[in-house]
Amino acid sequence: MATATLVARRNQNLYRQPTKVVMGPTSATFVVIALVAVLALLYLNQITKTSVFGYKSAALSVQLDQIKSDERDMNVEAARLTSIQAVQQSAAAKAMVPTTQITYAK
Amino acid sequence: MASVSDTIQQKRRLDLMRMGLAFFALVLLGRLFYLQVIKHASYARQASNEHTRKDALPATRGELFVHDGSGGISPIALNQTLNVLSADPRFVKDQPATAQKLAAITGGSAAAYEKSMASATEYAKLADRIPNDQAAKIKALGLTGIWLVAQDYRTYPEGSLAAQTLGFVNADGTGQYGIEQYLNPELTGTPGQLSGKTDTNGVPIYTSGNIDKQPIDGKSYVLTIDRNVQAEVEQALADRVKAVNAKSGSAVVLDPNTGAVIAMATYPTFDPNHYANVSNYGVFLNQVVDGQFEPGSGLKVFTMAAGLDQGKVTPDTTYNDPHCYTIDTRQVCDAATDLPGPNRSMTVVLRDSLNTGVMFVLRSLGGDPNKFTLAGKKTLYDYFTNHFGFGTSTGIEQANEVPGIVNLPSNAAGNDVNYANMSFGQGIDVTMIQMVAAMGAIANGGKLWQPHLVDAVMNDDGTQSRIAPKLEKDHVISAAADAQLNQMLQVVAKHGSGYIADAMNPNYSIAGKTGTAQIPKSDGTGYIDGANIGSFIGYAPATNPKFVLMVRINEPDVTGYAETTTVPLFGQICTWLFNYYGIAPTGQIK
Repeated sequence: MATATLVARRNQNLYRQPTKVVMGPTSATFVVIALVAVLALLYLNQITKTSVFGYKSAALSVQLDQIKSDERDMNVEAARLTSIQAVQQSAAAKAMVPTTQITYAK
Repeated sequence: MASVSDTIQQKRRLDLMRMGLAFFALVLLGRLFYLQVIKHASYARQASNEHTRKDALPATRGELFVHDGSGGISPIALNQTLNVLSADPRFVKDQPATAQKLAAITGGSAAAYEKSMASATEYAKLADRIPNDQAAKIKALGLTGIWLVAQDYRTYPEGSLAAQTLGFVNADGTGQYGIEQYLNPELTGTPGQLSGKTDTNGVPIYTSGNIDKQPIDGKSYVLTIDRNVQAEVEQALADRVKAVNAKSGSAVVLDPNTGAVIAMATYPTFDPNHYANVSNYGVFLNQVVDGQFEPGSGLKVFTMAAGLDQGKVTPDTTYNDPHCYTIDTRQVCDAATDLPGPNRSMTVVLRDSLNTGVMFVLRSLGGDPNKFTLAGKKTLYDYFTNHFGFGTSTGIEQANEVPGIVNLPSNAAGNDVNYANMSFGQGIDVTMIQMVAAMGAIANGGKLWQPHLVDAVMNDDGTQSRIAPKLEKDHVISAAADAQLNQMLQVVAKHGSGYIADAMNPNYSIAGKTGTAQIPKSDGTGYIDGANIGSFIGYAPATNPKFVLMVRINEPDVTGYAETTTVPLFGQICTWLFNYYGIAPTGQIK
């Protein structure tokens, strides 16, 4: 009986014949090409993500500039509304009367 | 079968072809060498420019704030992004209708817009400072040939308030006049830069190779100005200039205990938001710092201070007033209305503003009250320049400050006649800011503070870093001399030329001195007939000074001297300041 068998038999030692994988030149070329393709895909994927991030960043910058501009507009408007000139022309100020006599407590 | 000659000919043709090919290859190689080696840098740069973009990142200009009188601060110079409205007339189909539509939104003149478009060929600027909400409405109209460009503008929310003190920022973003020019480098900041790869549309792509240098924004400052005092002083000044039909006027309020300028005004004024509409550029100038003038009798205070400090005179020292002194071949006299008289005290000299009285002090400074000496002139020069700071710019944060002119006693211009005139404020040029700083030293007991406008620097977190006042000189005169002068100046306000201001504030002690100065002709041949500059400089309360105030009216068209043109203005501002600061009545000298 041949010893190189995979069939288990009682009271007999089992062993496996090592498989010899031999890669020929064609296979090696194919593997290298496949690896390069996978790496290229990974690279493209990362580059695309980075570019998309750049576009998002640019859009956010524009949005930030717009918000800052709006904030500045509001600050200017608030300052105008509370300026001396605006206060003097307000209805409340016009209804006021000048001080005439001030008495100081010692 | 080919003959021998045919074979030879074929070989020749092949050789010729080989040579041709070799020559062609050489030409190609040469061209390649030229393009890839010699012109490498140029083409590499062009290639890089195709997909690289460099943008300057502008720094935000620092802002300016003033005190609001209630412990807080209020903005007085801000930044705002507005829009420039422009047109390319070639593409505007119906110019009148377009102008009407634009004017309906902006509130501008349709006729002006139409005229601008009709007179331009390719580009017509129709309006600037268009607010963003109006810009959005204009964009919504979808007008062909009309476009808007966003632009940063300096905005002054208080309008013309403190206009000359602030100055303005021109279309190039550069500060002009006032503090905008003086602090322009600090306010401007440092621009940043963005340099990076772009896509085909020129939009930057985020890559590690990008260079992103962030801009450093300009510093923001809190000024010493109190906007309430500033507004009141400006209004009172404008009313007074109009009331006496004067050409112009100016006023300054200073804290004598720190040198901080509380208010500084010049009239006529302008709105820095619309500086381009100004045709008379003279209104841009801050007369308080760049309008040097012969101050007249106001300067007698400092001549008397020198005499008292040197111990050459006391308030009770008397002299015989001859009405005129003859110096060389010239006569230098009191005012025409003053009469000669014996035994006039130094207090009376200031009260009645006697020119011969301060000439007597000048003589006394030289050791002999009967003649002018070089020693006397040198002493007066020393007090004017080294003690009180005349003849040198104060260093206040204002563009175009001038130092004034004080002639040296040792040169021809500083002759006896000149120094006799200088003792009562003629033949010497000073500025109002020098005058109030020097008067502040008398008010506070002898400390000459540098007048200043910057109170604090704003930090990024909104807190403020105070800038300490700078003491230029201590003990400019002795405490005893200072006390004597204080009393004498109260007499001037009570019984002399300042009586109107005193009468307007009967419960407060005021110390001060008027000045009515002649105006020299531009060709240096004497003075302009009938024209004068009236001024009043003083401080209050005299017993515990809270402010120094100087007012100046140029060429009033009414009869009378400074006591009728400027003293009422001084009194009016004093009344308001007493109420504003809540200063309890102090009483007056008898």
